[in-house]
Amino acid sequence: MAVIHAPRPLPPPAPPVAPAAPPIALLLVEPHFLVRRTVSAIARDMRLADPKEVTTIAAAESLVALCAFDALFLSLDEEAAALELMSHVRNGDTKCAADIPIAVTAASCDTALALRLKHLDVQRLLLRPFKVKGFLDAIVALRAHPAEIHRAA
Amino acid sequence: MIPAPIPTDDERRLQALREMLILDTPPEDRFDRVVKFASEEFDMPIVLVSLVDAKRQWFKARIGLDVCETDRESSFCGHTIMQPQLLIVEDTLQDERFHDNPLVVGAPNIRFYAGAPLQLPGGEIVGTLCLIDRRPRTLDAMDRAILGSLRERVVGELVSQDSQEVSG
Repeated sequence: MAVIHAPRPLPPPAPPVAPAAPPIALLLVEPHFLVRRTVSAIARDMRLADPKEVTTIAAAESLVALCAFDALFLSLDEEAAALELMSHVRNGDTKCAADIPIAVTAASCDTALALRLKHLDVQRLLLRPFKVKGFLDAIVALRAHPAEIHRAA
Repeated sequence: MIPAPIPTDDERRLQALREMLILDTPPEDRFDRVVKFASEEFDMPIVLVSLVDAKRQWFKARIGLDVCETDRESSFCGHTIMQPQLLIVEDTLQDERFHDNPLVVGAPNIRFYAGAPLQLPGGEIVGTLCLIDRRPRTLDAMDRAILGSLRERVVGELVSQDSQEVSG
């Protein structure tokens, strides 16, 4: 026979993460609306990151020419343009530090792309379909690269 | 079973719900895509946008459930609208409110329920975005944050529709 307990009030939700460090300035390129908005809202709420959201690599190129970001999270839907953007960053051709952590999302990854990403020192690759939770875990991982985080003065 | 309680401000709540002119309207992609997204994100077989009417809960968007409404008295969402916080029942068989609920002992055999109240800017809680499974589950803090964020998306769509009606 099942033991029936009186309903217990849920404890107040604990902060999911209590990062000691301030949120990082994150440039997020993600075309999928619900993914982008959900990731951004939660990253902001959890003080993981202060994301700047764009949907295209062209918009991201404009932003890195003007602003320094602590990390990049790029969709490889526009693969050639995204790889070029990462090259610009690594070559020091943008306002960002050349060694900031970079993560990418992709529909697939063959050996040639994997080698290219490795050469560009990409820290994380998320293959679609992924979950928002995986995306947020990857942002947490980006924060764990203290040597690469260069906060804008 | 403990029947879904009736909030003291139910008349005001129902008025706000009916003024949205959304009850018994056809499915809409803007709500359907949220329930599909939530179902995939949480691996939940059933996800609903449930609006709690006077005698029933009616589903504006649903995945994994064939019926478009059930009675309010046995609804889980009728309990959720009593509070602005999430209502999470990790195992219905261990909860005196729900262990002998017809939705637990019969189809769809709910064992896990997580409901996020849909609270309008005026404070009225008109329904829920809810996740349902047929096995006991838990949600960690990040899961709860994601559910809360998706709930805000649904509220945004409800309010947006309401504004359009007013301005139109």
